[in-house]
Amino acid sequence: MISRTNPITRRSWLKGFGAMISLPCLEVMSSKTLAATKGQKDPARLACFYIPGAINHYNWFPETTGTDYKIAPSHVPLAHHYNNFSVLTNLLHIQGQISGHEHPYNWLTGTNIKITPGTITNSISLDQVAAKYSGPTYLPSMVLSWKDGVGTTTLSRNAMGTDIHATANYRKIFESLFPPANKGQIKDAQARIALDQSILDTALGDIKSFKKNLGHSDRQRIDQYLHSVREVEKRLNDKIAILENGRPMFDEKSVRLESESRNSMQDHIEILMDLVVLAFQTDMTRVVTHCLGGEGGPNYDDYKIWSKETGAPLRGAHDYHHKGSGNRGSDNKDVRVIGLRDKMFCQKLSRLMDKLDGIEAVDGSLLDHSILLLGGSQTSSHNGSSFPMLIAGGKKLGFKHGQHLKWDRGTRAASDLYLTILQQMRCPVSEFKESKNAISELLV
Amino acid sequence: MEPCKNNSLIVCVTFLTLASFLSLPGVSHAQFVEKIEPIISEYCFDCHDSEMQEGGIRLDNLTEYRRKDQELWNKVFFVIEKGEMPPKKKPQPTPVQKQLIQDWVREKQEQHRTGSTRRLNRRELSAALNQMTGLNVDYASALPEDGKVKGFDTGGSALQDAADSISQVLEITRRAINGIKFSEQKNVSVNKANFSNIRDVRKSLDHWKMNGLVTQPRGQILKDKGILMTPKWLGDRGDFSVYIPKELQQKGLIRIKLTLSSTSGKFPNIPKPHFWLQVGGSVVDRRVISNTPKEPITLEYQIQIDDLPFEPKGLKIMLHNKVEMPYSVVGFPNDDRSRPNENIPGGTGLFRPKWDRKVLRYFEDQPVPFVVLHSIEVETDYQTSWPPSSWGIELSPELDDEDKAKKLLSLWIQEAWRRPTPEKAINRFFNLYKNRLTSGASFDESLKTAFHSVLMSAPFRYLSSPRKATGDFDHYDMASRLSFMLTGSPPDQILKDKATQKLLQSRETLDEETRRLIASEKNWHFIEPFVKQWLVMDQPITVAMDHIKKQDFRFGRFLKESMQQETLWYFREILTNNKPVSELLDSNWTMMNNSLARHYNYPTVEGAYFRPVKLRNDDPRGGGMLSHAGIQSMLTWMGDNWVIYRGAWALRHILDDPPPPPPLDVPELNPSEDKHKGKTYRELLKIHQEDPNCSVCHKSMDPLGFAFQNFDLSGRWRDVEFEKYKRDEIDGKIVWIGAGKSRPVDASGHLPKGEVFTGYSDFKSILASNYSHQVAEGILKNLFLYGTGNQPDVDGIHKISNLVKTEKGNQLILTDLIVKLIQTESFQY
Repeated sequence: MISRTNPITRRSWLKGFGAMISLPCLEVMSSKTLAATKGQKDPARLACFYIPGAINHYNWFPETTGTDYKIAPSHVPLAHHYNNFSVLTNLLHIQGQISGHEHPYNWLTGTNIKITPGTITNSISLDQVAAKYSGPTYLPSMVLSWKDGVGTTTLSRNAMGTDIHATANYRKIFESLFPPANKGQIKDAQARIALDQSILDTALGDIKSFKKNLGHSDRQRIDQYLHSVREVEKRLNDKIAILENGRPMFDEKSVRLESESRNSMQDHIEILMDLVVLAFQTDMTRVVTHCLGGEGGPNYDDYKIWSKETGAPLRGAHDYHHKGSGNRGSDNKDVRVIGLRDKMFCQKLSRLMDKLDGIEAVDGSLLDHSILLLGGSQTSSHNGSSFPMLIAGGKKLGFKHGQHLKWDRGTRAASDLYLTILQQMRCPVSEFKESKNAISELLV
Repeated sequence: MEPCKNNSLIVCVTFLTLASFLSLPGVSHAQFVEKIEPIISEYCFDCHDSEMQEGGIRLDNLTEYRRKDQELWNKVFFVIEKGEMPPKKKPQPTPVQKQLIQDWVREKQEQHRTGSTRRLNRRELSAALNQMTGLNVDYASALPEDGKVKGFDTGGSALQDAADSISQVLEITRRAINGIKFSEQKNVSVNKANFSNIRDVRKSLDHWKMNGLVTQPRGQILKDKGILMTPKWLGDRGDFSVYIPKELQQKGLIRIKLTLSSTSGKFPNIPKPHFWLQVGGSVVDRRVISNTPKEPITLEYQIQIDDLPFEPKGLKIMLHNKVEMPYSVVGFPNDDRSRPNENIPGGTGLFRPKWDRKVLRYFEDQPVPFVVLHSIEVETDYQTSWPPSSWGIELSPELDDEDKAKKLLSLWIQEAWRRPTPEKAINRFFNLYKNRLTSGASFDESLKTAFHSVLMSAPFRYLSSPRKATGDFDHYDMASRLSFMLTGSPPDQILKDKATQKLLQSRETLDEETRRLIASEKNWHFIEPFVKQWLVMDQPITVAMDHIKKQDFRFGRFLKESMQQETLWYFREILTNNKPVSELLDSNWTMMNNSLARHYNYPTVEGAYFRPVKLRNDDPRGGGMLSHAGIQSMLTWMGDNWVIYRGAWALRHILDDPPPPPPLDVPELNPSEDKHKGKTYRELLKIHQEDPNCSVCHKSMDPLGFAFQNFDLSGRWRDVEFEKYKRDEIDGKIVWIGAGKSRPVDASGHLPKGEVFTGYSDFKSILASNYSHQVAEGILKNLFLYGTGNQPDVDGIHKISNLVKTEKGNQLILTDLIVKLIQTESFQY
């Protein structure tokens, strides 16, 4: 991985050089962002990590509020970043409250999409609004999860409210993230894109006559198809342009694309987060969502370890989410399992922050230009009336941290936070869903 | 629109005009605010506003009728019709007000009825690509799972496109196009080997090495026939394998052709071997080989290798032989010593005979089944000639000229669009071909580009309602609807001909065609997805080996698969033999193969294929889907809540009477809490039912769930349960292990209408006699959604219940009902 502790060796640099000698390559050497190597201004990045099921609320919420608050047990791994993150308590989707296993639909969209997924509504997710304005990049956004899929596996919905396919395959993610390595391949790739454009263009040539006989809602669906194809075409255009720059240089051999253990939640999250660091550093994408686990599984080995530690009976992830949340007492063994899980999430976030902080931007570090959101949409299972939310990074984007902000239950919309994030990323939006005002306490 | 019976034509016409006027958004909103909102705000908002959302229902955020709220309005309509809401204790709206809402719902639904346009799901897309190219490649597995509506992958509102899905389809369709060729004579690289006259197995593929392949043939020689593949026991190594190195091919198709048979020397009665073909670690095929060496079977596979992992030597093609049935042979001891006296009926105590290879050197003496490999063929960079020769299209082999291109292109578009091709459309794609040609691409490349473009066009990727907004009826859309529903693939020539003759509105033709498709070979592509999704059969089945607290992984795979197949074959038997719905619930037969028969203790059933078996009179489980081990086992995965889960499942999927979702902040039933200690599960649930929050659902779920108490974790029958159950686990799954005194299973309870049953068979006969109509209605509603992509609206539901009501219970023939459903006008929107 690229970090200050593991710079690219001269040897591996030379090895790569043979293949790329003729390219106007972008050098991402050791510990600088792409913009920093070029002396340009660093763009804003956003990564959202979703906590599945519920949390151990005894250990999550700090006892005191304001600045100088007492750090909560689950957040201890973040202690050395105390001034780089804030805890937000009692935000929720006032209008779009839901209950059940559908929370990954709900968290970033604020829409109750419970009954029918993919229904045409204005249910675009936060990340996709950000992606719309933050590009163009080689990849408009990266949608990660614990397995490949749509529905509750993904956090991202496009402007039509349609699920965006999430992936968990390290190699696929890596390959989609970068242009090909040599000039011939780039030329081929450009020709292929041009061909795809003409294929799509011809395919839609006569869409009007197809639509002619259709009723209103049928037309809407075909319009969505059109809209989506146009978006693909636009992305292809952007891609052709970015391909010109070629593949950024970095030590590809050191990128980890295999998990040591098939069933380890920690390991899976680490590998994906390392890819996020790489993507942000090389500026191949600026927006990421990552669903850290499912509401009802998978039954990662980590749970076995935690249950041993607390003495809880061995259960499936689904049952832990149920029995490990709510008011069962901080000593309850299942509750403590969930507490250990929450703590692990914070450890991983802390590790990510360490890495981002170790990469120099033009001003400050990459962390100062990245907004990281760790949260979920239920405190106890099946209850969407208050969210666990933790926001980190983004100091150069105007964020002020080191505080625990708490509102009265049911009064402040999570959309206000989303609006704040979008505005600090300089997206030209004045509202998001039910938002009223940006959260000024979070800003410098 | 429904034809107006009794009313005069004029009324109809007026209503139509009015309807189209009222469908304007502004009017619709005003009408809602003026007429509907005051009533629902007075009587419903108390419990169904943003605060309470009782039963997961919220009404305070509606501003007009929207199609996506159809289900919600259906609910409103029917709770009023049945008098269920508002609750008795609350103030009631006047009959006039009730009527006003009901009329309004029906009127709005009528205006919003058309609109089932949806894209093909990945199953259908793959089937269409196969039918068009003549290839037999699984394209679906490379696409993400489709969104679902009520569990069905044909739901219109879930089948839409985002930019991401389009990029993926662009790639998959490119693969399909690259699998065909028109005229270019590429170097064909076929590697062939016939093993009937070989002397040394290890050298039998040496001539392939010249072509760059890495070969590892293994096995013994069967004189004059081929190579004997020994079954792979645990720990055995050395499979027959061939590698395709990266340098040779990394993308596209390979073709594998095999000739196989099986033999088991002096032991003709041991189970037949299972042959496995794995490529790149993925299972391409696994099947029982029962052909004799005199009459071997030839199998051909086409495999897309783009997504498959390569080993250092290359892409691994591996053939092996597995024994997936435990068996014994007189004179040989048991190889399995973990539990010599397993006493579960049909249990897996006997694993396989123990023998020594060094002593029994000749294959005929070895007590195992062998797969015989007679010949193998591997073709790299495979492409198929298009059009497929089976279509019988005459194409003069002369030059690749414009005429030929145009001819091929119009044939392709016609297949893709499932209808005759308009000239204008051909020209559009033809121009793409010409542009490519002008820019220097070859004939094949240019035409493939045009073909690819056709696959991205809306008429290929989308299905539409046969009934149009204009009132027209499109027979080709109807042909597609029937065909994708009942065969999972595009219409065949017969169906397209009927569309051309505009016959697909006639009741007779629909009757004839529906029955033809249901009886066709492709019906499995209807039965499998429909039944699996209707009954939520993707839940894991457990085959427990109680003594080692493990699942059975040795023979479990085949048994689990057989357990699931039983239900699918059973449904197929009902459908293709015109049996009544009541037999889905209760009968004296079931479908079995050898593995399942062993599980059920019916020792005389041989062979891996499914066939109807009459059940013994003393078999307590009896027939019907609810008795299938696979069904009962899959319903135990939710930890210790078997009773509740089985009851809720039966209500939701069999009785079409779904319990509402659990309320927010459900109090947990904790069996280990002090005051609950020592109580039976039945007693605990009674306590749970006392909580008014819980009683609404549990009063109907729990008594029903107790009917299935005779089925254990593996879906086997048990007669005794224990006084107490101790929490334990099998492979991380929670199970209750019996402890203390045993007693007979208490499977008494009552059905939703109040009928008391004393045990499982009593329950089943009441169910079959009193609930067949309700079950049939449920199946038809699901079929409606599966077939049209939309859930039925109020009118559709009324049509379905009328259709079922007019038949007597013992005459509710499932296939007849499907025919009638398809004939209703509602089904054609």
